[in-house]
Amino acid sequence: MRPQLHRFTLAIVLLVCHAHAIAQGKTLIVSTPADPQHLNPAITTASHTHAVADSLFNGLVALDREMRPQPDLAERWVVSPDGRSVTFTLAKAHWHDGKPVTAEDVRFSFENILLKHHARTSASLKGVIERIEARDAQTVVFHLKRPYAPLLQQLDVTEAPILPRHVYDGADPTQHPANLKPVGSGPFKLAEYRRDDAIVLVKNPAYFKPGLPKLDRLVFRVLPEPRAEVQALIKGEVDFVRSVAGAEIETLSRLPNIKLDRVTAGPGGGNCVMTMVFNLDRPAFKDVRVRQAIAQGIDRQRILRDVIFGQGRVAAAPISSGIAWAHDANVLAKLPFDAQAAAHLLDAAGLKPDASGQRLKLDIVHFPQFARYAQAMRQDLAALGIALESRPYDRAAMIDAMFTKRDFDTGLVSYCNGPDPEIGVRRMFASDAIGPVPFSNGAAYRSAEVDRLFADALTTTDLAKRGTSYRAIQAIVVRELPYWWLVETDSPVAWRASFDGFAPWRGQFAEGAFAR
Amino acid sequence: MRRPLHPAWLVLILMSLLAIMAEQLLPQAATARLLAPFSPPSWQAGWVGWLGSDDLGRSISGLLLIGLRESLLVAVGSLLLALPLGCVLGLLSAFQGTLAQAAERLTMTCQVLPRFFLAILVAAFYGATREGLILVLGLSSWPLVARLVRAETLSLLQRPWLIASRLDGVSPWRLAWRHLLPHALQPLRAAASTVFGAAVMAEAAIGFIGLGDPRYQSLGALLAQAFGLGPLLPWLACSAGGLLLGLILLVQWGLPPTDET
Amino acid sequence: MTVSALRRLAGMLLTTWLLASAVFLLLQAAPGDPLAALGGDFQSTETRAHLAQELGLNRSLGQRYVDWLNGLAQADLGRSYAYQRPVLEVILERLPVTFAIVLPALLGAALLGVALGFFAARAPHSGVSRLTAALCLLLFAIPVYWLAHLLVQGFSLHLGWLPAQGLRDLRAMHSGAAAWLDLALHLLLPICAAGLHQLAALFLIARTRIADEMRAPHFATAIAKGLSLGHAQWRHALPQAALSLVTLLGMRFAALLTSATLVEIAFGLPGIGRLFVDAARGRDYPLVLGVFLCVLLLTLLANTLSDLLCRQLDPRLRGAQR
Repeated sequence: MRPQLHRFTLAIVLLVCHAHAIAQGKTLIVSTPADPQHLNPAITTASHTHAVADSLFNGLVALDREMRPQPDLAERWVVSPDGRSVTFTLAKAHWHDGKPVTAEDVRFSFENILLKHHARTSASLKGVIERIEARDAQTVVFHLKRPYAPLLQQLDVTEAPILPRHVYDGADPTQHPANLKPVGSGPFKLAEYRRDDAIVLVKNPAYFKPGLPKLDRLVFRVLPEPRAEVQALIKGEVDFVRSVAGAEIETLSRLPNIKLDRVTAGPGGGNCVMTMVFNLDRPAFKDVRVRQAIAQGIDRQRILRDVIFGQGRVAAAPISSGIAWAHDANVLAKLPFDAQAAAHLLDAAGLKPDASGQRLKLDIVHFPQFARYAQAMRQDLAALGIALESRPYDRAAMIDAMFTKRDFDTGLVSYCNGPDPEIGVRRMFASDAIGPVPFSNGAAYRSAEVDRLFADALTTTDLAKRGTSYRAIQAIVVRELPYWWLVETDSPVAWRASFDGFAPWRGQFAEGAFAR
Repeated sequence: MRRPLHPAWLVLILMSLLAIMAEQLLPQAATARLLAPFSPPSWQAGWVGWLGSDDLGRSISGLLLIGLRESLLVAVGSLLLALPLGCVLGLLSAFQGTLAQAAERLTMTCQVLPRFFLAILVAAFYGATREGLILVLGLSSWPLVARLVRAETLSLLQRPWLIASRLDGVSPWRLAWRHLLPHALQPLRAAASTVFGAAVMAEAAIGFIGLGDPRYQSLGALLAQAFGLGPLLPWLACSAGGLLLGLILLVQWGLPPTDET
Repeated sequence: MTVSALRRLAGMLLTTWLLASAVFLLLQAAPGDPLAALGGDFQSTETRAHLAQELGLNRSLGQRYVDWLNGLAQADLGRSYAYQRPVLEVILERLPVTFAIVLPALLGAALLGVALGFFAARAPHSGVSRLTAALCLLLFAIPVYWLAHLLVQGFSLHLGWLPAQGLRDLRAMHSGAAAWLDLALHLLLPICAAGLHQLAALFLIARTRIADEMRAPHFATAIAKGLSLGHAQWRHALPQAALSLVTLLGMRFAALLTSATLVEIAFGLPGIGRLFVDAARGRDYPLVLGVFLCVLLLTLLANTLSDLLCRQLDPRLRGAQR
């Protein structure tokens, strides 16, 4: 009995302490699965850095739920008639140290940091931007080599955060001490950074958007265990969880004080499609009928239901439905799940079952967290006589096997399409994207026609014309099947109902959040 | 000296037999989709459905048998590595000479190897394989065996009958083989129990943090899977955890381990 | 005494050097590319070359080993790839958290385990004694992370008495004495989860050892001289048993670090165990090596301390040389 009594005493003391705690206003506690390592969002694409650091900075634009650009640091912008220059007018914003945000900061951020160190932005914009001109303190002009439609989608805080020139000038941005003591322009300022434990941000009272932010403190808690995350949410120790494990959704949806939402974008990229990659260098995949058989042999409806607990959609096209103007909703309809048809295709391809009923042995490389997809696919393919052996690899080993050594039969990759096919789709199919670059053209697919169509799609900024090119590409790749598109995955977000006003699809998700 | 077999061993042997024959008893149960996902436990489908199914419709009884097989395999494997190594080096270090000193130094060095950390390191850098784990666990467990054998040998060497045979001019090798080894093996039973129990626990911990061999789901990995599925599969957590717990209890009961680790 | 202490120290250093070098080689020989783990999604060949240069990965193995040893001699464990900071700094930041779990767990397990064993040995066949033994056997066999999970389910979700994760209440942000109390409350469940296993192990052994001593002739003599049972136990059984218990405590330190690692993961605490697992997964070679070395030294230190304590406890060992 005694230890219980002791715990009672402790519990009472705890209650008293709670009563005595200094009321510090509205605090939102957000769980994040990994330590951000540093807080400079311009030199990395790592989602755990962006999850925290994006709240400290701003991009030129912000994106709304449908990925349309909205004003952020740039109050307004004008695209020239020939599409080769964009003029941004900046809002009157200030850095956390009180200095004004100027056009020079924007030019410096792109030329000295983003185009050199932000992997995604430098890959997509280096060949596009001719020069950036700081016309006056509030006006910055982007001169482009050719019209580039998806430019604005790549200027939000996740893709192109603006950094202060007066802090970073003349130093190596990757080693700069300010990466740990950031000076941003964002709605929150850093107060305390405890590694692997918690990052405390406080309200920026001089934020340039009137009335924002509404929270007094934004605290990130590093919690690597998904289970602990959900327990903390239920207990009220954490208020906001991004990317809830699918299995927990049902429990959470039954709790009246928890709100759930699903978004297709996050700090790591948006419009992600879980994709099976066929290594086209392997003799087994020389025959398209084998790839078709595998495609038709996998029950994607079941993957949606059993593997991701309904948190997404069966992929209807190679390009995500999140990019509605490029997505071709009917293109995969002619390849329904049909085990019998799949068996016939394999027979026709000359892959007869041996004495034990086995036709083919394949491996599949994937991240450990995708193991359940691989297991479900293995079950379906076993029925066809294809033995699928799972090879779960961490990031380094996966990149090595798939993109450097090309030592794999099939792979499982979550290709995030981003807001425009040019950003996240082209890399899957273009023949110049074959090589050791991580998460590029893993299938090693080559088609002169597809290459030409991608180039065509870039000559104009007219979405209707570009959509035609992308639909033509989809028709070709569905015929040739270098990949098989399984499901579009959403990320489920949960928060305590005592808060609201989140923009979970944005890096800066808590700018407008408030406590009820 | 012969005692009847302890009942715990009967149960353990029965469990091992079941585990060895897992594939024959419930073919494909650990991989194929034999039931509807999340089926509750029932008798209707026979042994396959006895404990229900997991998220992908795999039979939990099948998964448990395979898991048990993996856990036992790793434990027995590391035991088979640790025992002979420990015996030889333990005997060797009980004598005088450079070789003995080297053996003793090696024992003292390896005995502080943190096996869990080493296992994580090997799994992360060399790939998580069952063989690698057996190697690490075996190579970090032998010093315990060696120390016990050494202590026993040292005390044996003081016995009058042994001193007598030494004085008779029996060669050291013959002495070790004919007179020392049979007696020095006595503490091995307790050492074996300790090594076995520690290996089961270490393997489960490695499986739990996701660094176990992905080809074969051990009990620890099953427990991790059950945790990952949170509230949906309470009976998987209970049965996998319970089996793990039972395994360690049985070993404890059947063979009291030594005080040392 | 000084000579033997110096000999011990030399032995410890030799062991550390041997094992650390073995692990250094093990890591260097490992397949896979640390660069791929470091760079982002769209890594270019230039960034890779730049990184390799910066991290010294393009030098020869022998050169790297010499550099590493050189650094080691100056207490420089190198720079972490992922954190871009000196390894030693990163470790020292995490060490207090691990200590805050391990030391109370060790102390609590030792005191409670021995105390329970002491009383259980008095009446080994009483109901309470048997119940305690059964409970301890169960606690000994249950996997640490399962125990952690059950503790959280029971004490924090169901009863709501204790926090479920973390080191402090991030909403209230206490200061002063309240902050320490808050920390203690947050650490209670992790300490229990890591310590109960050791408590059980110590109880089981203390009970047998004390009972063994109570069967020895000198104990019967003490009772015959008219000492009370408790007094005789305290004076004549416990000190004898303490010797092997202290040795055991030193030996179990590595196991305790293992439990602490699992607990750190389960409760999301920033200790060195979790740091090690993360570093190994991210192929942060210098950090992995550094933490491994740290764990090694801690284990050796625990063994040495328990040895020294044994010498203090047992006059026969004092001055004796190994």
